[in-house]
Formats: sequence, C-alpha cells, structure tokens
Amino acid sequence: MTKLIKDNLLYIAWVTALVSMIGSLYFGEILGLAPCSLCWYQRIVMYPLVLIIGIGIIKKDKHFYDYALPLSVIGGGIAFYQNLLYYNVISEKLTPCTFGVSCVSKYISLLGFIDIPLLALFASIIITATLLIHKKHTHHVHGN
Amino acid sequence: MGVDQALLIGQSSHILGTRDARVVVVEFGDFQCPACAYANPIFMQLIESYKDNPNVSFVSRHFPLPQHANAMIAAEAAEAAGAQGKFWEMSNMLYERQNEWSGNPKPLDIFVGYAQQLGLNTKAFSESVNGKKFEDVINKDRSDARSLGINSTPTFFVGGEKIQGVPSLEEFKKKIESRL
Repeated sequence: MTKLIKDNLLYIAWVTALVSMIGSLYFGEILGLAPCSLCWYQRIVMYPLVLIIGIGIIKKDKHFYDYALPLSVIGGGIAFYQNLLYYNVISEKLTPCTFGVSCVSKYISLLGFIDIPLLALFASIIITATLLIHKKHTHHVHGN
Repeated sequence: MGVDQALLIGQSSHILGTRDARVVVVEFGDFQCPACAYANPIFMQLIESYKDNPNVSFVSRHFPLPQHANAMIAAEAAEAAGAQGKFWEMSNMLYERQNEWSGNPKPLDIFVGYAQQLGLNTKAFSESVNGKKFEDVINKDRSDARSLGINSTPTFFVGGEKIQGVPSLEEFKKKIESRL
C-alpha cells in the first residue's frame, strides 16, 4: 500500500486538485452555493494547480514543484485562516461583515463537522505533502 | 473635507443631538453582524461620554447585509420601536441579545418579547414589522451606504471621515476631540 502511494504521489496530488476544482464548481454552479472572498482566493491558487501538476507529470518536469508548491502553500494558508474563522477559533466578532457571501456560512456538513472549508484545507495539505514527499524522493534518487 | 453630509446623515435617520453639530459620528450597521454587536458597547459608551456636549451628535443607519437572513427584519424591529420613541433602546437590545435571535427562523416572536420589555405597544409593533412599514427607509440607508462606497459593517464616520475597522473608545474620542 505504501509503495502504491509512493509510486503515485503526483497522481494523488493531481487528482486532489482536480476533485477540488470540480467540487467547488459543483457547489457553486450546480448547488448554487456562492463562494465567499476567501473561497475565491483559494480557487485562484487551486485551479492552476490542475494544469501545472498535470503538465508536470506529462513532461516529467523536475522543476514544476517550484511553481506548484507556492500555490498549494498559499492556498493552504488561506484555507487555514478560513477554518479558524469558520470553527470560531478566531472570533468572528473581530472580523467586519462584508457585503456579499459570508465566509463562515454553514452549508454542507459531513459526519457532522467536515464542512467545505475543512475539505479545502485537507486538499491543500494533501497536495503540498505529496509534492514535498515526491520532490524529496526524486532529489534523493537523482542526487540533485 | 469629507463626504456628502446629506448622503451621510440621511433624511430620516435616528440622531442623538443635532444635524449641524460640529462633529457628527455616523454608524452604518447590521444588527445580525457579530462585529457590530462587538462594537455596540463601545458606541454606547461613546454616546454616554458626549451626551451633554452639544457639539457632538450620533447617527445610526442601516446596512443589512444579504447574507444575514434576519438583518432586515431586525432593522424593521428597530424602526418600529423608533416609531414609539425607543429606537436606541431596541437597537441596544438587538445587539446585546443577538445570539438569541440571529439564527432563529422566526425572530419576530423574540422581537415582540423585546418590545414588551421596552413597554411598547406590541400590536402596533408587530403590524409595523409584518407590514414592512420601514422597508423604504432601510433600503434608502443601504443605497446611501453603497453610494458612499461602504461594503462592510460596522462602518463608522467621524466628522465625515471614514474610520477603518472598530476603533477603541479612546481612539474614537481622539478622533472626535481633534475635530472639536
């Protein structure tokens, strides 16, 4: 199992980005759940990852991590902040309410606590972790 | 310099003091906004600090946000109370007890309870809220806010100057004093 995961780290990262993109479009365009500002920022960094990771896999580009990792880390940072607001770790009272969709609106909840912002955070963590592990493994093997 | 005062203060806004006071402090708020609830005690302390100063006035205006399902009805409740002379008391109650009604699908029942506690005519109050008697007033406030470039709540203006975020009581006083 471990070998299976190790051999497919990049595909795991790519599929995670793809599912995140499709999922966000499904929530927004099909279910009509309008994205808030923080969701938009996360989309801005997540959607390009589908292309960057995909092309990196096809071209076997050893340097695509330089483009992908900053995006996944930034996305993870934004997702982390949104989760602090969402689960009331940062008190919302300190955050002005902005015209438009609230970033703490509760729409969907899996198992009673896994909501959209947490899914987004998981996705960023998975993508970042898989890319880092693969990068480390590749550099170790090739001595770069 | 500042913004258009007529646009800022509005025609039928609730004001403590006079329109032509040297310093007019204006708040655009949403009763369902947690940040506004947080700012309310500060605003009330500020009003208390300057209640005997004829050079300072305070204005409260509505900016109910679309993502807050009960914001509009709460504004109607405040206006309905205002028609019976208790706008500020009802506003205070709405902010202080925001958690009680914020997520409630039938907040009017709770608001009627507040009206009762304030000694209002609850029949007239309910009719006013149900009939959306002050919808135009509230929408005008919201329209003015948008014209002023406001996109969040609470938004404060002191002497025509837009203030970032929620100032502390001391910061508010400094702003006011610098204009007196």
